Amino acid sequence: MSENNNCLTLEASLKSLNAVHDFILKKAAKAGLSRKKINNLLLAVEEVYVNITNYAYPNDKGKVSIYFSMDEKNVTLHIKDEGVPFNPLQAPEPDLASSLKERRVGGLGIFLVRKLINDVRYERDKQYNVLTLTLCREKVERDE
Amino acid sequence: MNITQKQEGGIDIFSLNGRFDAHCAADVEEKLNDAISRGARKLLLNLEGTEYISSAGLRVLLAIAKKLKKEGGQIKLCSLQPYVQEVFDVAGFTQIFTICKNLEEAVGDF
Repeated sequence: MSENNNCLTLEASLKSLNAVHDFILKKAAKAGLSRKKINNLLLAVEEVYVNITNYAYPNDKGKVSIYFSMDEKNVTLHIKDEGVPFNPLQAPEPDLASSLKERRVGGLGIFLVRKLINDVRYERDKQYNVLTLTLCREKVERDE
Repeated sequence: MNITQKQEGGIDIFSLNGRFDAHCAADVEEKLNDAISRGARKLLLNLEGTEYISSAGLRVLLAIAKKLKKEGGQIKLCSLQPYVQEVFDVAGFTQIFTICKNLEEAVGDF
């Protein structure tokens, strides 16, 4: 695992999730985000990271890098892996109206990311999957 | 995540303290499954100390609820913190779970 100012690189493993959360908490505090926005960011990064640990490297170990940046308006995270090409935004949306019996277990992660983060983009850049999460720093009316 | 467990009037009460994330989800699921295997049919999850839940936590709750329903049991949740409540609302979980305001109300609701 390596961490410089605004980038955390680690082996994709569920065991390292706490290190990912700690990195986000540290950066989010710097950005002065509300408790709710910090949680939105923690959740979004967790969902993307867990997806990578599950799918990106089926036969081998591999790395994930998380880059943090911010400007006056937004906090931006780029999450990058070298695994098999995979666009999580193509996952089908869950059926939220179904009953307990019919409700499918799983498939909620990326749905939550889309709902709780202002902008989510996927790009295949050479051998990398890059997912970009943008969260608005400003307080908007529906925030609290 | 710290999990404490007690029995009260035939109800198995689990209190979860900490982040209910992908790191601890398997551990929570195992403890709840153990209780069901031992014959527990009334499960109460006290989420007063849980300020954060991700889809991994939601997945465990849904899987346990489905399993209990099949066995003729039920699961109730209580003391949801604001962020957990919000994730429940977004994920459509508010409609499929019985959610009580506090522990006392939940125990009385079984």
